[in-house]
Amino acid sequence: MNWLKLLQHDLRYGLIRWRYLLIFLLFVLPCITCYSDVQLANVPGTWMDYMLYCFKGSVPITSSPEISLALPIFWIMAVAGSLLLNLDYFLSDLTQAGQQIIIRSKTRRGWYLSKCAWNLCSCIVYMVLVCASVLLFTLLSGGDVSLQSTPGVMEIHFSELTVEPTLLSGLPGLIVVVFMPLVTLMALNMLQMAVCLLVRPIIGFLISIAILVLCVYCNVPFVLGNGAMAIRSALLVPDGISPGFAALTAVAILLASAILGSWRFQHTDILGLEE
Amino acid sequence: MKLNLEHVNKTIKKALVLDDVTMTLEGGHIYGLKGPNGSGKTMLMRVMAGLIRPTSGRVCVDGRQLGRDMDFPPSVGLLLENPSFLPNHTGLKNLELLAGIQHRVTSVNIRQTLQDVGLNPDDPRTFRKYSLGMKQRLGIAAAIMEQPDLILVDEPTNALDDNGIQQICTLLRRERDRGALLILSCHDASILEDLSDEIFHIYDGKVERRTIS
Amino acid sequence: MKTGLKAELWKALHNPMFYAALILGCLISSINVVENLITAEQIKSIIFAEDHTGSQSPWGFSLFLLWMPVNGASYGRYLFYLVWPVLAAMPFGWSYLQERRGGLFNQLVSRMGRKSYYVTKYIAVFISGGLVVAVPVLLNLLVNATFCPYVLPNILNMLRISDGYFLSELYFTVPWAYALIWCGVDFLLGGAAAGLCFVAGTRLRLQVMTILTPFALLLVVDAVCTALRSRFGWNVELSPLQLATAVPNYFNPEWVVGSACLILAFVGFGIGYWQVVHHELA
Repeated sequence: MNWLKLLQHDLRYGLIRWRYLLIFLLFVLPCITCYSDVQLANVPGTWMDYMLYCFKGSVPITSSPEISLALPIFWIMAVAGSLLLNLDYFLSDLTQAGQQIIIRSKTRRGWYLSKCAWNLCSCIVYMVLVCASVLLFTLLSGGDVSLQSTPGVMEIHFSELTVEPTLLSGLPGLIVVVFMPLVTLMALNMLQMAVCLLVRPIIGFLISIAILVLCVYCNVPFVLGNGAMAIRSALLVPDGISPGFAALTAVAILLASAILGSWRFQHTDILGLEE
Repeated sequence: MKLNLEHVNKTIKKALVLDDVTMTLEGGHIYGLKGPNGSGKTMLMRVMAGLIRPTSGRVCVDGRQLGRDMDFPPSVGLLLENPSFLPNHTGLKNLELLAGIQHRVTSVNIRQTLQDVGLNPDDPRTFRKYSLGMKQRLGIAAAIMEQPDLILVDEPTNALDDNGIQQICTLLRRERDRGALLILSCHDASILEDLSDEIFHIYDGKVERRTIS
Repeated sequence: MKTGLKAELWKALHNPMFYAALILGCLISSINVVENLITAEQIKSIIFAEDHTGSQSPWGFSLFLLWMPVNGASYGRYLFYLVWPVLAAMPFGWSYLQERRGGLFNQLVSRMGRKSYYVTKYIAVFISGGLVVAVPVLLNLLVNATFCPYVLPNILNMLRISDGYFLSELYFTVPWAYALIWCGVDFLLGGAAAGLCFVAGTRLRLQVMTILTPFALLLVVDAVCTALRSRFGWNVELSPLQLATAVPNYFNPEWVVGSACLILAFVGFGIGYWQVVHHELA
């Protein structure tokens, strides 16, 4: 009962925050870029096209030193946005008004597990808002609210692929653009929360970013983040990463982080503001 | 309520902040902690509250060890350093929020506590707009509103006017008479001596001596 | 003002966060060194295998091709040039917020005035931020120079730099001068990015979020630039985040790099000035 109250508190004060609305502004940017491609293809464009573009990612960087490739900035922004939002609330609650709540929570484990549950919910809210903002853009730009990707747009978006990508629709599409990014976000956020108990929060954030950059290089499902890149998914390209395997890896990291974090929090000194 | 500290040591980044602290504290008393800045008073209170784990030694509440049998004392009220609350809520809302976790007090009790510390429960101002003294009063209200068995208050008279200090002293005595165990640190020696039944003198993390008021 | 500046600079350059940022920056740039060492070993084995006797260095093996800001395939390079705004803000970007919260702000302002306080603070933030970005880049050049040959790059093995890129002629003729100038550019960009911490003012309550403000802002600016570029078909790199590297994917002529430094510094300084000097509630 006590734990449910804690969770209720976290959900209420950790999720209902104005800054979540920034997601709408954030995701307008990749949508605008995608809109140019849609116009180029001379088709209306669908919700799936825009979502695919937001979570497209990049092909692995394996070029020679003379050739420079760009990092998938939209994809990094989409993931880093969630990391920043979650880091803020967790630390505020650990160091400021939250101390009064911690001593009333009775158990450290209960408090941490409540934060884990909030973390997962926060990722869901983030993803829902991402979908909603893309939906809004699709509607405003005169696109179709459809789960079917458009061949012409796919051709432009995935031009760097040597093989023709599979057209996505329905459930496979949702797995690529919603489920996989969501699971990855959950795992990354959980990892960041646990790491922040071990090292300074800023280092925790930098480690998360280092993982994101690493997965741009390493096209293996073990590196968290690969599963969230549409361009590397087995549902899109023949030799891609299996979503099931990538999801399992993410869930394993998520659980390991929750257990490690919970154990670590048992021994953490709760000092004042960022001491 | 009985609080036992047995040979408690705490080292933070190689600095010994608590050095072999042993004390036994009982309910129905006010214990004062006296010492210069940085002597370890607040750190000792954090250890008693379970916010910090001792490097060695034991802290027991009614025979149950903190960190082993439980994470925090079962009934504790706390005011440490600057009181911190949600800035966009009123004082009443902040206290209701905290009380909602344990459900030990009703809204009527909370309003009464706010009045006791000299705050208006219906004040529409948010915590962000409170003065320093008002924030301090709200912090004290949070510490005592659930009538906890253990109350830890660090510099409760900070930023309070004379009237406020009198109000808080009366409240703390009332809590003692109820049977609560109060631990108090204060730089004003006269207030500390006036309120405390016993005073522990702390220097460099070590309890040097104790005096009975 | 002079004493205040001295004190601020001392605080900025003698705090654990400055050292931590510097070490972190050097560690990230050392990833590039390790990658280059591996490349060097591979090339060495090719030379021995083929009994290479020519006086020319093997194709692509030159200090000025493998140095971090121009190396297009290095993990260290990508990581460094993504997180450099965080590194820049780490040493001292948080100090204004901390001094406001701790009350030191009032003490200092009452003694030296708001304007002097802000100017000295900004200079200290700028210099500390610039140093933690420029020093790892410079060290990377020097460490790479210990095992990479000083071979003039040419347009056949450096495809990324061509006419329209920052001082491209200098790069192919006097690469050392180019490299040192580029360290200066990174210093300016690092300093200007660190100054963006003032944009957050006291609205953010956590030190870590203030440090992350420049990163978040530059990431959004990057996304805006990408969106605009695709909309209007520009082939010039406008994003400061990308301009910190010598070989962005689009042209980075001198005027763009210079303007980016100026605009970034102006925005950070201007908004900070408004908040600290003019706005009582900042």
